[in-house]
Amino acid sequence: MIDLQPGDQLPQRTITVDQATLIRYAGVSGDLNPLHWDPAFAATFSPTGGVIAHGMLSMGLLSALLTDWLGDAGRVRSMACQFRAACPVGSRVTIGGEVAAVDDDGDTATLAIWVRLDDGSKVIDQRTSRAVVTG
Amino acid sequence: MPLNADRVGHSYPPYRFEVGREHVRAYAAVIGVTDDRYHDDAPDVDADGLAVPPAFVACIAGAQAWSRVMDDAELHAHDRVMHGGQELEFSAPVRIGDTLVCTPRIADLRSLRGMELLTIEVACTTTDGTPVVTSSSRLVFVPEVGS
Repeated sequence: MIDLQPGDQLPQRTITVDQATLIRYAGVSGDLNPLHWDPAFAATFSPTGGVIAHGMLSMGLLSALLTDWLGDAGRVRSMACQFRAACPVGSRVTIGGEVAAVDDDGDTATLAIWVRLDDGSKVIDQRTSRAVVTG
Repeated sequence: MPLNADRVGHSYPPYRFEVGREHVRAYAAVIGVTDDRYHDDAPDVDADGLAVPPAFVACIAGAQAWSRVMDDAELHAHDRVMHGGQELEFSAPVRIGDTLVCTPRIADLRSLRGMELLTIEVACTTTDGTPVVTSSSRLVFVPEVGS
């Protein structure tokens, strides 16, 4: 049986996503899209008119939270994230989640996961973003 | 020029990805993993077999798959692109020390409000073909103004 109950909250984390973070993420992931480091390029089509964070960095922050909270990253069976609001470089983000459901067998739990800006904008929206974890 | 819908279903040549300890360490540091096992560099620590943070799959299914897609002269992909959504489905955990064989495929293409949504799927297996993880990335291509 899984040791989780609907409504259980993941401990929230708050971090500032500055340009150095985006450059480090670009290097480690190999995602070199200049949207994430070149203001002139970003100005041509970014939804904010400027540099924004990688969606996969936001998903990575959630992934780190899950890894630490579960104690074993191998318990994650799936993750699905919809990237909604753009995360402008320099933003402070808060990440979190809660247990939305435990399956009838008690073997897996579905977590609603989210990333928000200080103004409440949903970078990753918990209504459409999920992680399924095992016991 | 719009992306070429005839490429939906096309698979690219597989590539090999070795899940290295130092790569996972660097990734864990950027995303803020606090678990010491991802950071410990003492000489007697053996991290082989440690499951990677799930979104590390972005490193596995990202750059090499993307270069194949961008190099596809028939697809007409371009660099005005954002990430709209991402799914990861694990058949087994990815572990430090694993060698994976990764096959990218164009899974879907559709239009929405003047933008083009391309879904790239990357199926990652062990070297003997056992499924490990499938990554599905929905990419949003923004056309040039006036194109």
